[in-house]
Amino acid sequence: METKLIENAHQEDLDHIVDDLFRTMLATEVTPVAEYLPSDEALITAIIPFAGPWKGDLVLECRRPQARYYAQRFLQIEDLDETSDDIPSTLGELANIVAGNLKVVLPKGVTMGTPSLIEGKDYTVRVCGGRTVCCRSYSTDVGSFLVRLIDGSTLVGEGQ
Amino acid sequence: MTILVVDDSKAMRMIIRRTMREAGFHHKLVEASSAAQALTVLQSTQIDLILSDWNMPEMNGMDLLVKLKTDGHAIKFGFVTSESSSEMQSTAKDAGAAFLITKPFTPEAFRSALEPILGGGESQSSA
Repeated sequence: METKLIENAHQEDLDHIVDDLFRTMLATEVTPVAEYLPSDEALITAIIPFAGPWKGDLVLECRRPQARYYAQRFLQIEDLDETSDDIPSTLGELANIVAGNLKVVLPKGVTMGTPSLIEGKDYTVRVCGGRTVCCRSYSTDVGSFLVRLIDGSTLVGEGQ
Repeated sequence: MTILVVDDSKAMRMIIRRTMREAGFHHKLVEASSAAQALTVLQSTQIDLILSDWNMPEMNGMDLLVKLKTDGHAIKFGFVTSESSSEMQSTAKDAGAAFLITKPFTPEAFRSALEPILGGGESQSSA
């Protein structure tokens, strides 16, 4: 029961943070939806690790063309080259902002790492011993993206 | 007046540059992608204000601020970071930071933080 309450609180926090970020810095509306990304399309994933009294990861994932669109909105560049480094850099920064804002509701003393990025098809991201605390999809006018908060504190011998 | 923007994210350095213009600050800006690079820039360039990310690999923004204070630099310093707990706000203030701007930010947030230091809407050459 308590776990469920915490998960719901994280969902509400995530919804608020993501909405604020996309409205403020991308001038884009987001709506929470029940839709998941197909693994057979080219995806890009940004991961921010948390360490300290609570261990885990914040994962932000979307299709590659969406990431390009978000980078264009974020940087206000109309026609960003499809191979531009600014695309993964932007997704990493978006994940960093979501994680940084979410950190306020995580246990005191938690520290954040810098973004890791994965690109490709047919891959899954798995945190050893991790449990998804909440997973939210958000719809935008170019498709939906996924944000997951993974609790890695359940690893044997850690976080107890 | 020259402002140094320190952030390991190229995208965020671009955003800060743009937001500075939108906020009416057209000062000369130089960039560093790490705290170590910022220290190198400071050896050759007269910097009046540093806008730094907090969460960076190797040497973070707080380490940079402490290093500058230890070395006797009196440059104005502010954080632009995604983290904004009251603990971080007070840590930044205690270490001598002039302000902490939280991402996501607006041009108004920049105006509010920077006007006491730069004055309002000063127009100078932009690098």
